Amino acid sequence: MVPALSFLTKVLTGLVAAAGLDQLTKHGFMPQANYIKAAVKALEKDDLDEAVRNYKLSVKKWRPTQRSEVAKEIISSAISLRIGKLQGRLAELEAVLHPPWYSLQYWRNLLPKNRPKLEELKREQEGFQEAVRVLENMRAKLLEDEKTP
Amino acid sequence: MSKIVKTTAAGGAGFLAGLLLEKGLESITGLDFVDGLFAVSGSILAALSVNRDLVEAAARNIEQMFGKDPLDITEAEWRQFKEMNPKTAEWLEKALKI
Repeated sequence: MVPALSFLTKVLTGLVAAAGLDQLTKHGFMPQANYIKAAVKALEKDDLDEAVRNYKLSVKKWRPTQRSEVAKEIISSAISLRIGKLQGRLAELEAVLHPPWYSLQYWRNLLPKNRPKLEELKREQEGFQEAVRVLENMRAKLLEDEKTP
Repeated sequence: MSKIVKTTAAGGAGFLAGLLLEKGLESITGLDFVDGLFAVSGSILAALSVNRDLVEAAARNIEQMFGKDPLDITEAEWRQFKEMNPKTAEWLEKALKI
């Protein structure tokens, strides 16, 4: 059984529309509000990378507006808050891993039974340091100057 | 009676063939063509609701910054937020008519 011609026409129209929209979206031709909304939604899901990507698309073909500038500041602020939290935890880890010699923690760290725990904390510290670096790069990418179209 | 059965059978077969074609095309192209059509109306809706989304996102940032509901922040905290996020604060003042 062959589907009706009108159905095939609808399918084809839908496909062309979807493919066209997909390309328009990828290249930043959709209305700026679309990208800002997507950026804010990504932020809600804690997907900072996607938020930055959508913000960048929002100003790729359109001039920055007050709304896009606000979105940029909100994303930048969210990244800074995340960095701040990580740095807080890094400071805590630093205090445990490298305490002053006159503190009790310093002498506790010398005990062999504490070595595995310290190794674990060191790995955690390295992970957080890497996360901070990634977030800083992301913020730099967000804040780099946009070319006016 | 037989005409009804024939029509129903033809309709059912057509529906199944259409469904198979739709699913086949989706799996080949990776595109949902029905969504494609809805995306146009979606973009119009997005433009209408983006302001509310921005207010909510700013509120979440305030909540994370001060650890409390934006409605409960003090004048000093608001000034601090304003200093760090001048454009957002100005926009919020306009949007919320503070």
